[in-house]
Amino acid sequence: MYLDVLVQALTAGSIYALVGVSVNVIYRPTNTFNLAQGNLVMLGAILCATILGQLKLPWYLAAGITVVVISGIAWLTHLVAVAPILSRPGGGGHGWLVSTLAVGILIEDAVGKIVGPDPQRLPPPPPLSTELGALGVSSYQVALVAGVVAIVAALEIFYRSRTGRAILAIAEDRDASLLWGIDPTRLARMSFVLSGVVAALAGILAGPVFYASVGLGGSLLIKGFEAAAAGGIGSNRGVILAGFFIALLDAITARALAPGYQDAVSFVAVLLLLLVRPQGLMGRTNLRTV
Amino acid sequence: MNDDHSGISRRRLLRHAAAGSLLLPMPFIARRGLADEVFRVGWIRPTTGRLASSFAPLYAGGLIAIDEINAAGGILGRKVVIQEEDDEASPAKQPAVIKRLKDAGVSYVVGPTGSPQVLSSLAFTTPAQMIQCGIANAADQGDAVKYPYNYMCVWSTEQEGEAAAAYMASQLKIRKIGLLQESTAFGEQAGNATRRKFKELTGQDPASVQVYPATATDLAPYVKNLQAAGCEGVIVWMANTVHIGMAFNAMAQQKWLPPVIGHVNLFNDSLFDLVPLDALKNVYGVYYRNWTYTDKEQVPQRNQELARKLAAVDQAKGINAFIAGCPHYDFLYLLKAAVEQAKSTEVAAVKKALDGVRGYKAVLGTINFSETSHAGIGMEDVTLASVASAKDPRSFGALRERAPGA
Repeated sequence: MYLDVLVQALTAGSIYALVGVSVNVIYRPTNTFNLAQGNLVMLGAILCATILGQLKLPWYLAAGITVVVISGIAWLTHLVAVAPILSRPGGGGHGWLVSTLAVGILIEDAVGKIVGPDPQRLPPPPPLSTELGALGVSSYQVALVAGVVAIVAALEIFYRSRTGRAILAIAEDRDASLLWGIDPTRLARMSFVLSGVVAALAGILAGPVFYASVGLGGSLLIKGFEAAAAGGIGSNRGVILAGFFIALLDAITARALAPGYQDAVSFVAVLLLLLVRPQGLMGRTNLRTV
Repeated sequence: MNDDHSGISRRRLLRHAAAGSLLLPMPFIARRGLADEVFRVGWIRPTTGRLASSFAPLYAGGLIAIDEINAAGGILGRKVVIQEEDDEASPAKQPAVIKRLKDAGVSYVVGPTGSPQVLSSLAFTTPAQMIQCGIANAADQGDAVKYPYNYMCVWSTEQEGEAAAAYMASQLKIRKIGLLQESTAFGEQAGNATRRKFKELTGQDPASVQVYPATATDLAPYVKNLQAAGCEGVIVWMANTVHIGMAFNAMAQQKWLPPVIGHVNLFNDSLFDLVPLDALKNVYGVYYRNWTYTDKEQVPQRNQELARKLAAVDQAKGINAFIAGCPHYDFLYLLKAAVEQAKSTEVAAVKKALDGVRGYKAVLGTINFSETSHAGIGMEDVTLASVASAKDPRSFGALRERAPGA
């Protein structure tokens, strides 16, 4: 009886976690959030669905093109909306909040104009299917959870490489990393591209579950931020844990209370968690000797 | 004091200003004279912003009406021209938009789209005595005492709710119904009307009412609750195609396919790409009787012709039925009839003629107005049609097969 609750939690939680991870990837070297991230996820889903529907290309080729295009847009976002602000004396304050929000609005408006409001069906990659099997689980749901865990594991391995450690060094102390000859701008640019790859994958993987539509970005960005905050900003393992936790809470609330209370219950739970552990589930407190 | 010197004295400045104030209106008078050669209609729609492309096709019927009217000689011999204003689909933009139209001397307005937008614009068109017809279905917008210059040529959300409840109770004889509605003014109004009518007809309340937020990412839990409550039929009040797709897919996955009735946007063709056809076989949408056919009854010729024209509009592809339910085509023809009856374009005379409209045969039904009611469509013109009939060759464009017994 509770298997469907678990399946629902793991499916939705994987997507929330992936969006949260894409937020994290940017935060680490830049201390900024890309408010257009949800729109990149949405664009990933719509672009892949459009390529599949209009150009009839093979699924994996369509997904590859989507990842390249979205990571290119993420690179452009850094170039136009973030780097000029961060390069100002004193880091440019919080101007990136407005500039990345503007990028998000531009993307949403452009997609709305070009594609229109109708949702599109994004099929799962062959040979997977969204049809429920005997246990009430589809092959796509199993692959989705495994795929998201694999993506996060790959990111963790990347952060152990020389470049990854340089990014972590910037996150730790930007000024000190400059003394070590690390170029924060180059690594920030690389992180934006990487976040674009994760956002595109989040969109492509969310499409078969939530459909590819203009409204997809906003709702997933809220859940992604929730997962990032609860898991601990900067901790990918924490975000994946929090993503599953939030989705599980949603599913239990829907079953035990009423589906309409899902958002309220998960927000209260995250707030309570942050009151007890301000750094999130697996985040680290920043102590600095002055 | 001598004011004949060459410098500008205060008295001379005032004299020039007075002369200038007399001269200033002259270009406007001249422009007004030119404008009188055409019949200008304010055209409020978003031309920028996220909703610009999705709202654009909703005005297709109005543009077709203008082409037809102009081809037939215009209104009182004047060519109808539109004065387009961009409202960005925002209620906040309406005051400025209405002011621009009023300043330009426009007295007749088509648009905006959406109940919040229409309500916002009515706050300004009403005192400005501008005759208006927007796309909104809230029942009180047809209250002529409250909004004497607004004319509603479409059904109200209450009528939609009642039609769905009546079919479920009287035709399908279902007593355990479930309601699945979005948490919006539309969902609440339609849901309340459904509950009221169902109670009136059966003496019972719905077995389960599920209200979901507009941000819901999964409707399976709501559908499960309806199934668990033993519902034998479901009435859905949802405007977002993503949510509609999610709900029907959840039903299909649970292998639970009860009769479902819902809003006119169930006729959106994109639903067939999202949901297996089997899940839509027992689904009906509220629709205008004039757009439906049966084995014995054809769609009126005028509707068939308009359906062909709408089907030729590129942007209307897949949403023909929704566009066919928009009021602009009928409103412009009604306006023409009223102006020609009044033999004047003066608002007071045209309003008097519109208030006297009785039994006007429009494409959406038979329209009746009075001094106290501008809700033009009666329940006899509201019916139900099969969603799956979109695949029937007889259902070209906006046409759909009427639900059995409706």
